Amino acid sequence: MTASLFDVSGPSALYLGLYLGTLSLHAVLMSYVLAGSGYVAMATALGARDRDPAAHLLADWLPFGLGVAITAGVAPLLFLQILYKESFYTANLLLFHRWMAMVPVLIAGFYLLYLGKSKTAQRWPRRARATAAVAAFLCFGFAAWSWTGNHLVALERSRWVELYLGGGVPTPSLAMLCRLAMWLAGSAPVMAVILGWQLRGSAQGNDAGNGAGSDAGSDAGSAASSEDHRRARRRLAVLALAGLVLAAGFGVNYAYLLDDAGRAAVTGAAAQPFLVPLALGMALQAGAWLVLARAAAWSRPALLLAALGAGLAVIATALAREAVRLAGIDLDALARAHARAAESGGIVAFFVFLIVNTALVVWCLRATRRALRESP
Amino acid sequence: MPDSNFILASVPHYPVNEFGPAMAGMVIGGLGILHVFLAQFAIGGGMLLSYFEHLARTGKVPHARRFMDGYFKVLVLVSFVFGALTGVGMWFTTIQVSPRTIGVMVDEFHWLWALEWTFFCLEVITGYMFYRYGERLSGALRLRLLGLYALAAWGSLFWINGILSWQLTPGDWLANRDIWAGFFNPSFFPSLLYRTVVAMTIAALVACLVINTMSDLDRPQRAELIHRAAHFLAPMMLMPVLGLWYLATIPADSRSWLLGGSIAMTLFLGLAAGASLLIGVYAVLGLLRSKLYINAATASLLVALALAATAGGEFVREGARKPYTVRSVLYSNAIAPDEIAALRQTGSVTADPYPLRDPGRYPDDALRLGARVYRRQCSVCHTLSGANGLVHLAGSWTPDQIRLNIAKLQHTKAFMPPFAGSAEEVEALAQLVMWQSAGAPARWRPMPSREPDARAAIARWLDEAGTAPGTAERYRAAAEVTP
Repeated sequence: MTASLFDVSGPSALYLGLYLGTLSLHAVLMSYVLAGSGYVAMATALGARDRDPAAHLLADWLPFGLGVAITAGVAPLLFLQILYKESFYTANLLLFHRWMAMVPVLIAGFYLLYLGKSKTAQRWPRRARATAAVAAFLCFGFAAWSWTGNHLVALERSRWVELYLGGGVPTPSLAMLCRLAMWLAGSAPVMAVILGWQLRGSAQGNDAGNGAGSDAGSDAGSAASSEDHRRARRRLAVLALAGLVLAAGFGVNYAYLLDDAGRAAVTGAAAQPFLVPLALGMALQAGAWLVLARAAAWSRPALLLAALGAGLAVIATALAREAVRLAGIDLDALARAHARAAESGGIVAFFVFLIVNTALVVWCLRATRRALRESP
Repeated sequence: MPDSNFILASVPHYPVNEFGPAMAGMVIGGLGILHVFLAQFAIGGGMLLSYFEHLARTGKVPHARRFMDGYFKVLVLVSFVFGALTGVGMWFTTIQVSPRTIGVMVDEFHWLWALEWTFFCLEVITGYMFYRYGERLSGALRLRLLGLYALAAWGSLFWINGILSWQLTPGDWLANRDIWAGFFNPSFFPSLLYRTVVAMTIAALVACLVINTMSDLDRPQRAELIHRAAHFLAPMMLMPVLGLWYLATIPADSRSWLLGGSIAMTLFLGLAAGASLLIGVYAVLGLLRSKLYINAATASLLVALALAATAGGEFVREGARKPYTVRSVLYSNAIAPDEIAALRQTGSVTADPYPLRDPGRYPDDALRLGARVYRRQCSVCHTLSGANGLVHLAGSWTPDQIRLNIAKLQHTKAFMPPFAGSAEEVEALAQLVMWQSAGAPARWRPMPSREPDARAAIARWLDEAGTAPGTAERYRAAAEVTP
């Protein structure tokens, strides 16, 4: 029997909640890397990177962003396997070569990011730098494409045998392209708000990005003029607003391309608990970026509103994603599997170490920040 | 034998991919060796850097920090990037090879895996803070960050070691399903300590290599750093004891494969032991006792030997589990012991919804059935005529010998699982092996049996073989009760 998102209870609800929470965190970081690498590629190709503090900051922070995004992605990958084991594994197997290619492609993208911030690459001609930057973006675009394909194949149980016989590579459908375009466009406002905070910090001279690990251009953010910052702010505002409009457009299109059950799950009355926060989140972001585009400096309240809006939108989109999935699967069968999995021990140890290690991460960040403020 | 139904609710049929002339296990083996080597480098690297930070702070080696900056860059670029992504790749590859196995492991240990993830997060944050801002931090904070980084990296080893060692020695978990009984299983501590020593060894050898690339240090400074790094090789002296301890904890049949029962596993054990011995002798006599200088070429050779030892060790660890992927719970082909009796009646591929991708390649339906049985039961460890090919293993047997040996598979080779299908499927698989051995001709006349009724003979052989694994345990058990 299929179910709506809010019918889920017991162990299924616990695993689903953990999945959605960790997926949202991963989605935020993934958006930073995907849209950020696209921004750097564009700025480098247009020859605007040297004057753009946003591009400098991104190039400097993207390798770390990718490392954290991949690490954050481990947890949802784990809970995904508990929730939807058979369909996820089958999609992996059906996509085979293309799915497995994601790992070497991401490794290549990772090294291209490091190359992009190296002093060596700064001496290269613009065309070579642009090629490396575009190649990095394409690597992350390929990962996004692969995950989109995996998700859709997992949902299409009736086509599994056909896909297996056809070698496992599905023909790109309009739904797939719309869904991918929605995520790509939606990544721009999320990246913009994180970058906005970083630019605000560097404008205040707080950026401490000239340590051992930061190479060329790491402190360019703080070295940029106020005019450079104003331009960067307007550019980010335009990017965020365009991303919001396009994501909404592709999202609506995607919803209408879903089957009846899937469409009902994201457009009916049951969808209001996440459609309302989604709309609110997008409105908050739009309002905040309109203010920021005209502001003389990075406004903290506006950035807070944009961050709140982006957070709401990401969580609501993750909920909508699962609502569509749950509309097409037999939840009773899965609930039995989840109940069996929940019988295994270790949950107390997990939460204890989650708290301890989170506290250590916070201590590490605070201690480093305090030391940098005190250092000459 | 435990009742595995509590974790294996149904028999899922997954699509099976072919890896060409390479068997599926080789793919995961190759990636696994690389990942384990890099992960252990990261673990040992954290410890080594903490030690060098201590040396720098106390003034014992003033130029230690110059080495640390170069070393940490290698650690980040190689381990953070390659190590982290090959870790994700391991998960994806394991799904490709045996989705049911990884599913059982996730079901049982997901909270501990999630717990390990919290250590990954701590490792990445502390590591990157040090990498990025280390130069501007006080010595005390540097040491704390490195200490946390090393602790987090070793913590991730602690947790994954329990899960991986459980696969071979589930211990009391089989009886009580207590997660902690499975985690702190009989081979947990020898395996953890052995891997810790390996991690320290790899870190020290890579350090010797990195030190040689630092042209801004003069020879005496490099020699001093190498001498200090070599301290991390001293625990190698414990390796023989830890190795023997590990061998003592694993099941007797697994131990017998390693000690001569399977020549491939014995040779790989020899490779691991021999390479470790060479490194250990050089480390103790050359580096620690005689305080020899080690140049880049020698350091590279020792790193290569460490990689060879890792490769041998990982092959042995994987191979020792045969015929299981999770001992007494799942066989290598992801069929549970409890399911075999039923599959003997229904057939192993009757419910498999995935047809062959290339049915036209086979001249008749019996061979097509054989190909599906091969795909379901054999292809995870074998190919037809490539690596570990059935043709190479069984192509020279007589037709009835093939039938008999497949029907009594676990007794043909004790590291093989029992055949989990019907008499008809044994016949179909035997015909497939003979057809492939004949060069896969376009037309095929089934090879007859000398038995008056081949199916009846196969059914009898299947009954005689039984459904229990074919280890020598039953003889030992019988000997113990025989006065």
